[in-house]
Amino acid sequence: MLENIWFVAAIWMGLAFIASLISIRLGVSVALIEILIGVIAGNFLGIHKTTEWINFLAMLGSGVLTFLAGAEIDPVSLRSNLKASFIIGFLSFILPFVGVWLFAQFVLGWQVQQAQIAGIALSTTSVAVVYAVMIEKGLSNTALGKMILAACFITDFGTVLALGILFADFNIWLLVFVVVMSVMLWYMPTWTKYIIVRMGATRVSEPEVKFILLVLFFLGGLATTAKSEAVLPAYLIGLVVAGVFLRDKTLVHRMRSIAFAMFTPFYFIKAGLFVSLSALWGAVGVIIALLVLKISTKVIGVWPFARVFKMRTREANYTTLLMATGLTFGTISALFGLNNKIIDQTQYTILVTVVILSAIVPTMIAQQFFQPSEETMIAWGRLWSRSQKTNSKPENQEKESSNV
Amino acid sequence: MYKKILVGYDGSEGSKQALEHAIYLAKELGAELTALWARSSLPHYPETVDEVEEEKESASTFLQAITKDLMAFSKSHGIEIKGDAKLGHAAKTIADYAKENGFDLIVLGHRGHSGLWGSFLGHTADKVSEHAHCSVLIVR
Repeated sequence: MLENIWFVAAIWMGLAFIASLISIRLGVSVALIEILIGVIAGNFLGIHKTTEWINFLAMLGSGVLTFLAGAEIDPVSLRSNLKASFIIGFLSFILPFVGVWLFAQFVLGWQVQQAQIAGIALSTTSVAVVYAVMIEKGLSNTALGKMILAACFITDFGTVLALGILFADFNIWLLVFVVVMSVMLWYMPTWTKYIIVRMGATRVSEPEVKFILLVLFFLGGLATTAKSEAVLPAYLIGLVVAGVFLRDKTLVHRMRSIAFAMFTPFYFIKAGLFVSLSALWGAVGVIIALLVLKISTKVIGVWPFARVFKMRTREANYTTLLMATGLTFGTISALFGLNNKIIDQTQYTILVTVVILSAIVPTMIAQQFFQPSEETMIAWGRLWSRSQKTNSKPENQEKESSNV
Repeated sequence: MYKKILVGYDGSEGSKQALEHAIYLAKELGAELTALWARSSLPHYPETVDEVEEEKESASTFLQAITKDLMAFSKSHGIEIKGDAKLGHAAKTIADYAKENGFDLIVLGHRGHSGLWGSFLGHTADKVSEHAHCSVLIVR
């Protein structure tokens, strides 16, 4: 009976359905519950293997999810906070990446590529988790809130770039992939807008959704041929069409409905399925060490610059802790390592557990001890823009005097 | 005796009963009446920003329905009912709101208000009665 594709599909959809019910009941993201249901299914219900079609749906899940993550950026707020967001976002990526990589290689004795996967998985941050934390107190629309969200995008961009480049084969296919992707990235906003305007955004035949999926699949194919990772083009395509998505919410709603109903449940349940509880108990010390390392490298990278960028201690602490969160890209990176046989199940278990804990622990500390007020988050914007004007004045004066 | 009454209202049967009692008391005592909807359903640890956005939209739709309810109650009982909505853990939000705004009585239904995350931590009415700075009337 369990060889019958319909029954297998029914079991997986049943698990996804239970996850939805629990998620609604508890008010916790359905993705996190699906991972936990996957853990239970893998460790207690005897579901140990996936089929080709489950892997395919899971792959689509991670691709579309990454695309949606890229499309969530607000280009205007990114541009207006570029300097602070870029520096904080970049340091929030590079220090944990290098720190965890070196620790995993030289202290834990992992091989180079395994240590790199660990570095990538734990360098991430989570835009969605940060957004959810801030919106409860109405902080997401403040100047500092927007800067933090933009910095999260920069960090995730670093993660996706590292995942796409570090394990790629540097051959002609990579060149083809980069050239084709660059051309498509350039034209995507125009093409997407054209299709929506000409065909309409509410057609039953859904041409705009099919067009986005066509591009994602095609670039995913090129990426994997070059031994790169399909999430790289997915994230970049999301970033370049973000402006179109901001104006046309129908398209993003449809993409999300399709993804969350059909693709992502397979991805997240599969992500949980390979978490081994027996391996977890044996690696509690390593998990704690990696979590502490992730948070402390974020502190070393983000906190000093948060202070340089005119944040008071409380806001600097809050910003640092929010940048230390992680979820989507952490699990995607770890599953990439497992699928490509770079890391083993124990290492995968360790990384996914640390990623999930990093969604919970830093946000709890930030909310409990360093919650800033809405006024101070708004005031930071005034202080920061004033300091930027003051810094740019001497340069302008110099230019004026040299013109004279 | 009571000048400012706060009633927890989420459209459930329990909260409707609580509102009826609160209206009666407010009219008898000439007190000011405010209905608060505290909802903590924004998903914790989401994967996409849109998950949160959609919950916000659905909360806003639900708020419109509740506002309509309150207007109907207000009209049929001939009393002004102020309405407000706050995001956050139901019990904590109600207790904090009452304290911050100087209410001297909180009226709650025995059921309702406690959905989702909060139900693991005990029913809202129990929690509010433990933590509120003022008197709490739990309507059965």
